Amino acid sequence: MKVVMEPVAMIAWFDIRGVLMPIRFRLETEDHRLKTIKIQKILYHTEEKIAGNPVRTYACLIHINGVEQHCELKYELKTCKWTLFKI
Amino acid sequence: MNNRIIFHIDVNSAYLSWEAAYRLQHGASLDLRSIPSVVGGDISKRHGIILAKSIPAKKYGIKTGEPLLTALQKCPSLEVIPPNYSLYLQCSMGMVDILKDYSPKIEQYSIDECFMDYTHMNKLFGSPAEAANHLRARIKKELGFTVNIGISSNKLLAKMASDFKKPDRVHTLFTHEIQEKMWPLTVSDLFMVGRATTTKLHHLGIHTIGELANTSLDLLHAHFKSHGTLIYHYANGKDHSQVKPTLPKAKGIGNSTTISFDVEDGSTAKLILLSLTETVAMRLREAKMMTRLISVSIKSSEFVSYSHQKVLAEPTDITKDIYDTICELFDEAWKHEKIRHLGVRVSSLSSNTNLQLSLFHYKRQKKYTALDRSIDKIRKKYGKKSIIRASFIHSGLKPLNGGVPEENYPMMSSIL
Repeated sequence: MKVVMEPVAMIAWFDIRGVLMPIRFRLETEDHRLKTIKIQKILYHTEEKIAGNPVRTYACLIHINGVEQHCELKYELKTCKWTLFKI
Repeated sequence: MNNRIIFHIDVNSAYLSWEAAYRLQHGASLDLRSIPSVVGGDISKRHGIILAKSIPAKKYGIKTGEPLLTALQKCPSLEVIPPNYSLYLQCSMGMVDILKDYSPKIEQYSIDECFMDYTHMNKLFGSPAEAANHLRARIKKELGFTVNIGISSNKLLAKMASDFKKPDRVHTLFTHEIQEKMWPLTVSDLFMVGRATTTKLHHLGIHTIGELANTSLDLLHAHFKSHGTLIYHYANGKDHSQVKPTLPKAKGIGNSTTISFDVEDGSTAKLILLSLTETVAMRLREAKMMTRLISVSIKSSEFVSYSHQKVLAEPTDITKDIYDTICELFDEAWKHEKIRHLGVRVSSLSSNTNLQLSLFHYKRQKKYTALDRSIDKIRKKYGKKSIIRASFIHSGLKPLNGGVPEENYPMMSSIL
């Protein structure tokens, strides 16, 4: 996996305990087309607060063009922004 | 009293570490701490001094507080990062949150330094050294920056201990270790011994802390008065100050600014003083205080500083009254040389809840108080620049001046 740090639009859900899980996200490809990617499976998720800044990390399994890939998504609690961190 | 355990937690090159940790969290591939880098202001605005440096930058002989320009001469490939005070505040709060798990008595001494009282905590977290190492490792893992922890029986020694060898270390400095660990150090390493005191001590033939500790108190008192007694006790590791979880009340409120150009005319200087007065007066009213003593300080382009002050007949918190006094003081004090730095300060504070009303200016004061209150309300609701004085239009000067951009930013104090 490589660090890409790409901002993404996200649809996610909160369960009744307040646990947040990503469902699908959309990003802009290199040829400026929007591409929606569904999350197949969440392998694990962690929370860190490096520099006092809480961020949740999700390791996910996704399909891109029929190929199964791992990726890491990050959610910054303070700004409510999602990023595709690694792929 | 004698068997207290005090920790002093000090972040290693704080501003830089925090920026580095933040950038790593956001996917940066390079750790700023591993290259020559500094946090510093904007050269063009003359706020160009080094606020923090990385350890590789230190090897080039770059010092905190020196101008950016000379630092760039020493190391042309130096990475210069602008300061980000809200990030520092966030990091500092993250650290205090972790410390609160270990002890209820925590004093935030400055943005990057904390004192913690660990007395009688052994049963919870083990011996002081164990707890300190655990704490150090936890901050590194969770927050991504390193700290030095000094352990001792009082605040002064703990602070001296955390300064020994950096980074990411735990040091102890108990009373029986003073001779071996602290006395060989040069006298300028001692807390409260600054540049001026160091020179004077050198003239007396005192070069190390040990020599200072073994000098007669009478001699020091003759030369330095009460400050001599203080540093004599510090050199002997004596300090009885408590860990104070809340900040002591401010004795005065002041703001100052270094101007981005040399000021040559009185009217510009007065505009800048007005912008500083606006900030000071707002802070004064925020603190629900009144002032009776107003002072103005001037630093010339030749780095000569002087100040002038005046006691008022009755306490005030009105911006206009403070500003009028400031102008009066400025006219009396200014020697018509070029000005680099201006400061406004109010002290001799008293509460604004009960006060003696003036017989002669009552109506006028009531009006101005109402005006100030309205301006404060507007600024609080819509931002500090939502209402400004017309004299600042097209002047190119900031209508409100002074202070760090963040509220609640803990400033360093010289009192333990």
